[in-house]
Amino acid sequence: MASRSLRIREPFGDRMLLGMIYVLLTLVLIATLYPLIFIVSSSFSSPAAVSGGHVWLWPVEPSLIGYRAVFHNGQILTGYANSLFYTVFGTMISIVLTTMIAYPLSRRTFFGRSGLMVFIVFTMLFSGGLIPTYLVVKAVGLIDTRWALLLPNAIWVWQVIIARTFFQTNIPDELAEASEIDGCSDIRFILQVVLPLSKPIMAVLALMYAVGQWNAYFDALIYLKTSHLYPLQLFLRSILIQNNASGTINAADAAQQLQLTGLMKYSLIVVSSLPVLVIYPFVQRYFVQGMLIGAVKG
Amino acid sequence: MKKIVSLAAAVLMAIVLMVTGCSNGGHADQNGNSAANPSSGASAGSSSEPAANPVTISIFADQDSWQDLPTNAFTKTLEQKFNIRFQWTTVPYDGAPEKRQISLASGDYPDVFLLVPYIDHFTQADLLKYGQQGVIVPLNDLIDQYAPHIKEVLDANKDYKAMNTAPDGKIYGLNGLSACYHCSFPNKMWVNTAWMKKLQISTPKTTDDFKKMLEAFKTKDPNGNGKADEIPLSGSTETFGVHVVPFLMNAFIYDDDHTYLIMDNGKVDFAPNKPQWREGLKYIKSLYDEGLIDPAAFTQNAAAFAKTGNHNPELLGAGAGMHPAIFVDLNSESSKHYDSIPPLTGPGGVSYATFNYSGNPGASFVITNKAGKEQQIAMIKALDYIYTFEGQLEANTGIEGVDWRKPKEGEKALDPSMQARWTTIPGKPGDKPHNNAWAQLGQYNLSSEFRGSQVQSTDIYSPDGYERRLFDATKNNYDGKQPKQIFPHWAVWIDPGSADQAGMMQTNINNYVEQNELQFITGSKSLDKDWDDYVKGFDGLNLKGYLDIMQKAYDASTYGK
Amino acid sequence: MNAYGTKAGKSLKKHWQLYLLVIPPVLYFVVFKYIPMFNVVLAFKDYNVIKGIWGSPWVGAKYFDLFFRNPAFPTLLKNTLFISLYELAVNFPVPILLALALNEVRSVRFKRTVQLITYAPYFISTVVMVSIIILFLDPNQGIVNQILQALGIPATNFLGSPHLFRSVYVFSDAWQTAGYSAVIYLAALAGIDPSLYEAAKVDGASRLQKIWNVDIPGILPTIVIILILNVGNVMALGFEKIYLLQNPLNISTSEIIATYVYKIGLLNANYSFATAVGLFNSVVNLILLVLVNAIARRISSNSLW
Repeated sequence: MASRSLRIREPFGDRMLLGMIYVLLTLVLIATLYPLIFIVSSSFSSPAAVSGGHVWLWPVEPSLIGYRAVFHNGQILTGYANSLFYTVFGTMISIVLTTMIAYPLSRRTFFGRSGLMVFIVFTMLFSGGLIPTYLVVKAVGLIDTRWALLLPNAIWVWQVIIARTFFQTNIPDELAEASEIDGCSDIRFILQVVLPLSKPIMAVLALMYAVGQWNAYFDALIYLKTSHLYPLQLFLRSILIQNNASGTINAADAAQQLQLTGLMKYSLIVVSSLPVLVIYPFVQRYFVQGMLIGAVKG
Repeated sequence: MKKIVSLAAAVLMAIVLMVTGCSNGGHADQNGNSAANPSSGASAGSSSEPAANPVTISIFADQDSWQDLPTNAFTKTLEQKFNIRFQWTTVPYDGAPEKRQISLASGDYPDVFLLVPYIDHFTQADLLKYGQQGVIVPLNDLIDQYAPHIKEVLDANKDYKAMNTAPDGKIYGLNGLSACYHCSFPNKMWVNTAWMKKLQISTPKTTDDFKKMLEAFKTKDPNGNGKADEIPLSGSTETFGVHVVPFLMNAFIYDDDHTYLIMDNGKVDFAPNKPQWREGLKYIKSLYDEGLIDPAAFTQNAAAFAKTGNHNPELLGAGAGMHPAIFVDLNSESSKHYDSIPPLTGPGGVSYATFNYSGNPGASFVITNKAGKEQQIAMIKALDYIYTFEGQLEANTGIEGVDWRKPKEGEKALDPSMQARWTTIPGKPGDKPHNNAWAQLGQYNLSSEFRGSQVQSTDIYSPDGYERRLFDATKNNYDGKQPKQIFPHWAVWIDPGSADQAGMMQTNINNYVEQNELQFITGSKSLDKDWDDYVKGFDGLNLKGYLDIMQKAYDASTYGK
Repeated sequence: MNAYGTKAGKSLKKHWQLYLLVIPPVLYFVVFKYIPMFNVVLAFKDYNVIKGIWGSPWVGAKYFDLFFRNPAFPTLLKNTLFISLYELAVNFPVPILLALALNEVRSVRFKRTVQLITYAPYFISTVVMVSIIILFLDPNQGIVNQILQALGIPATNFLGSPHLFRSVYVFSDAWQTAGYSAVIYLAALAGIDPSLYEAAKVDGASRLQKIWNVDIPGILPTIVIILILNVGNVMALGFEKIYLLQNPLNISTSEIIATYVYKIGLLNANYSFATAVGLFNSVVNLILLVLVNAIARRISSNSLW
């Protein structure tokens, strides 16, 4: 029902505050932007310029040496494809499992929710460690398979807790009660009411799991042996390590290598973070106010 | 619509990947056993004698990204020569230490471990622990009976032998002999001789001379830009001799930049609580107070140090470091301006160079209890080959005519007392790397003969003559200036029972020394008022107990015996 | 049957689908988290490879003893806690403030740009981050000192001062993580019922009042939960960044438990010792977590359990 709202002129105090916020955010923008530009510029400079500290704002002795060194390893493309696979499927699996446990935990009438909560929070504080976990993964037969990157770290307790908090706050028990009286089962309620209303939190889960998957390397390091299963980060790291301390016995060559490595670190950051930066705008649109339709109030 | 399409594309790609990903077998993966070969796989098909069945050796190795060890030329050489068939478990450098630990902890380990020392190695504690548990096989008998060249090298190099021999006399594993001459004198001082010439200063011999030189750098504007922006002396916090203090302290008392231990007629003693140390700090403080030492020298990393060295116009008067490429680009004009100076003589007449045997304790080669007698013998024989000149050359560099060549007429060896015997053939840019050498995986006999006979340009200021530049610097200015007795921290094995405590004590004591060093130098503590408290502070850290442990270790070691 | 039992029974009957739903995740935790945990006994044993985990002899609390009696221990603990709490004090509110500020911005393009730019630093690797910090803070030519000098303030050796070191660490973390951490709060803000804003407007609330009375209460549950989680992580102070920024001048405040254990390990790789220290950290974290959770439960209606 369209209403003709009066255009109330904003009080002076409010406009001042808004102004200050804009100024503050602009300062934040500049302070954040400058180092980022520095990194990108460095990545397009020459090794000598970078190690000599000559780069300040724009590329010095512009060159693609850094990028060429990164892409020299033909397996980068395999790495990208694999990372894409792990990110998409890993995130899906994670979100599903997380929601499966977060939603029941958010219902006050769900008996055992405290105990269950303690059960999972405990795993956040205590862990078996590298070798015992490896032995379990091995026993389950996941070593050197794609599943090794999708399952062992599928659920992050942190995410479960955030999701639970969201469900608790935004899906009040009364709503669930009401739908139950209408004959709607828990599952139907989840599928038809909860999920549509949870777009913001799903976006957060998706973003955080996706970023986590994309950046992950340790699991791949330990559980994978075959190089055509490797995610991108593993290839990138190996390039860096291999160039860092070479087996050359001549100091001059070693010094040259070190210079190149110093440059490559910057090119590497650009190459590896570009995809993750690009997905952010897609996720941002879910952080718009009023995503929850008035249906809640009904 | 767009979303559906991109989702579908992703799913499609995923399916494709899954299908290809799941077919694991077939092509050569990391566990490249050439599975296609029938069991009588003597790969040297046409050898004249009937090949007895080759000995299969399972081996765990750190593999560089350009290598493929199963098909590597040097691997083939060894397999042919010693009738071996290697079964490789190769791991990339990334995560190699973890993978080795997992392999051992899960009981799933091979006959032999072959590691790249700076990536991963068995520490002394590891060797003792696994040795005593029976996981590792001692090599003494194998070496005596089947490896004459290894024996020769061990006997000829007492530091190397002590480094590899545990106090109980057993050799549990081997690390590589790496006679890096210039590396063994890491704490050098490189001075801007172009500036010295301009200001007509002669090479400083005493601590006073050095100070006067730094003062001249600071006040007389040698870079000629009208600004007093020169940085007389700088260094950094990392390794490779870049600490500013040791070179200067060596004019007062020996500073090994590592354990701070000194020897006094067979007795292990400690330098930082001595009056000479205090005198040294006084001197360094006097430099600092006049602004002659770059304050950043105590906080910056190598990259920032290099920034100072590469500045245009030149800013750096003197830089501490193992070699100048650490702080100045070898391709620049500036790099030609820095030359090393010999250790300074302090007012007490003391003048030392820090000596650090190049080589790290521990082992990169180990034979486990999973290897049968046959495997042990074959493997030690194969390793023995690397301990010959030719073997090492092939293992490190590759094939003659492809990766290395004999010297041409007129080419000189690095060590002027030696005949030049080899040099590398530089690859063309864009070339695929050759899979012909084990490189850092096979560096066991980089003897002074091997290194010294490599061809080096006589223009020491060019990148091609850089090794010669460092060799000359070491020979002319540092070799022979180390104390007669040094605590051989590389050759000493600490009793595993006290190793945890020793580790903690050493970390505590070293932290304390370094922290106070700087507090005295920068003036936040006074060398007059606070010195006694500082010395007393060592009691609280159980310095006595630490020295006892170190003394016991020294006495028990096989060093020099 | 007592009241407790019937409550359980009632819940089971009503929510049987939810109980089924919960099974796969629980299975995940059992397999990948709890089973490996049984081997935490490593902390109490001298690990012997051939005998395996169960065969290795017990040596009691030897490693814990060694660690606590170490004269360096009090300083390590102090440094770890100080930096952690400082980190909490700064980096907990900053993302919240950022999210609230962004929420006020009208221009969608500006809002999105700031969000994206502040989110980006999260992806810079620690090694590069440290390189940049050292470069920018260089006492001779670092850009920060050049700006300070232009303003008349003398050049400072930030990384050489034990006191300033901590601020460098914490504020560079703020720079790197604020944008990413703000995402959660932005999502929570998106979940606030718009009719509450209408009501505030009708009541004539100023911007500040709106923020205080609508925004903050709306995301309060999220804030409380994240605070609890952060407190429960206090002992787990990251190793890499501090290790790379350490130097003898600042070591009196920069030597934390993690870096110290690493240095000891350099002489002597020893799993059991590192495990023991890890266990100690976890126990402290647990205690803090329980404490803060109890406080939160009393004060607000939000808590972990």
